[in-house]
Amino acid sequence: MTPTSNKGVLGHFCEPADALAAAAKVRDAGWKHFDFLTPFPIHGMEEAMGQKRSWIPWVTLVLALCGILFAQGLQNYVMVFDWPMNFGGKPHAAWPSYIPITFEAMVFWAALGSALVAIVAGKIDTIPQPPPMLVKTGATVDRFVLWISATDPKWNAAEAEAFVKSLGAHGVRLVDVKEEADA
Amino acid sequence: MSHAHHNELPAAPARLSVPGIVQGLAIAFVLIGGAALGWAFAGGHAQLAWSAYLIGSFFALGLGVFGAAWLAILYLARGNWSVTMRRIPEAMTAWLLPGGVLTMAVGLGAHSLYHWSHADVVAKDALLTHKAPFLNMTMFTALVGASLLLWVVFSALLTGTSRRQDREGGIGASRTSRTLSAIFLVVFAFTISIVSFYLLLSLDAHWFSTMFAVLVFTDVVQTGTAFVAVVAGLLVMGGQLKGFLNENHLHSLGKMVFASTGFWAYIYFCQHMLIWYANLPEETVYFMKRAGNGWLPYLLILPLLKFVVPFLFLLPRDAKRQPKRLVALSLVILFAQFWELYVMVGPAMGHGAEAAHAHLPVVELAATLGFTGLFVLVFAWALVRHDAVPLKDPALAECLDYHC
Repeated sequence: MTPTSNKGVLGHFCEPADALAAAAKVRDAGWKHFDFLTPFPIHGMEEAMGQKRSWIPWVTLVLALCGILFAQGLQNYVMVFDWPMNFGGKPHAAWPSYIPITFEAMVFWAALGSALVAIVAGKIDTIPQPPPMLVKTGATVDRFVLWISATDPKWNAAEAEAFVKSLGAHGVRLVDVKEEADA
Repeated sequence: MSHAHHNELPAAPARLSVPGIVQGLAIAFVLIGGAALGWAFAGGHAQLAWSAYLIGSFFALGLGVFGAAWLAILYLARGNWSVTMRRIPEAMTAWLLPGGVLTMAVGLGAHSLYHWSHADVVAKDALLTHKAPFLNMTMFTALVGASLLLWVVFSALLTGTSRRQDREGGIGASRTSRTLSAIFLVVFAFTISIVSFYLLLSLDAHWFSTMFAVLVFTDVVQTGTAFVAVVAGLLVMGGQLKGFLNENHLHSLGKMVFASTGFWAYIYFCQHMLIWYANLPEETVYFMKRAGNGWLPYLLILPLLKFVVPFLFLLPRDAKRQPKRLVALSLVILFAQFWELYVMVGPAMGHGAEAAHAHLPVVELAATLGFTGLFVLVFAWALVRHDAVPLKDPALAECLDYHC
């Protein structure tokens, strides 16, 4: 499950370029547990947030090689050892006829596997998110919402709030779910 | 995603310039090619000379027509990431007029290249007699000439519309370009087939392959994107288009090179597998010829040069973003295209007991370098004649912000 955090700071921007500039400042200020909730992917956001390159391509490569091995192994085993048959006088290990299946197995393993791994990794390898019901600022419509979670190692509520305000964000507020529930 | 309303446009670059070393190399290549062809013609090696001429002229012609095809593809697909490198394909089309004339000269060497051009051979050969209404010099000249003329006309229309946009701006020119592109791509599909049938496929007039035209198309795309990548990479390295062309644009271009490399393997293997599977003598002759007389190593090197090496080295992200790596791999692909043309043309020379034996393609390579040198000179002349970037294209802002 995606982890959530009950405490943090929310603020929003009205322009993607402002969000991009703010992300770079949050990164440079040393915050680690922050995220942007945006209606659409913003190009360059990964770099601006200081995220490392994804390791998913390596998963794709390994799965592609596994797919190749699987297809070659299966076809050679079936066509040469398990049940050899004569097709048009061609040798049993007729490599050209194995290529299409090998290609397809490679694509299938790599594509499906990468998608599944990416979905699972997206659930576990992420910073704590704000309580969903509290993001009322239009993050799915026209707002670019910055969230700094209180789980951040350098968390200090007053400092975080002042910092997000200094970025020029709108509607900055401290979030504490317990207090909200009490209120 | 636009910072356009936040940032001013980068300072508009003046016209592009081509370094003297490039022009010097191109002239040296032309001299080498001319000397090699001159030696072969003067020495009475007509078949060698004409096959080298065919390889060289087709190599350069493919680059030229790719310029037009690529402009059309990008206009139609609204590939706005490529706006700032549009001058490159535009300049490539400048070759089509001189290159078309030079390619038509292959007809002068038809007797050395095409056995269907010998009346006595055709008279004794039922299949060639049957194909004679298509395979004769009149049709060769008319159809290849008409195809090349159409390429010249459509290139002039596409680049002319772009010039109009440079002067007047506005979306109208972009719309006209899209309409022209849609028409041209249909014309291109037919004409590239005709040109590849006459110039290359008919070298072995008994053989046929339904994959041949698409294979030549793939070659044109792979080689053309590689050439654009060389130029764009050098421009980025030289800093000439700072602010207009960066590693994000190279990345997309590199993906085109990479995709066409994969597509080449797909098509070449398709042709091979269909022939291997059916196992009909009239089809397998193509690979039988290229497996005998010493040609086998040349055939086997081809997939390594054209697919395995570029595919593996272009796989990492940085290989497409770092200009040095992209340029180096694109040069490998350009050489591989020469190799493929040699494997297409060389073994088709001579028949029966006179069938050609494999040899290191020295004259062929020199001729190809010569045509490439000429191509580069014409290309460089066309590249520096106009503004470096289409500043009035409405899609420019999107291209400047492009992120890959």
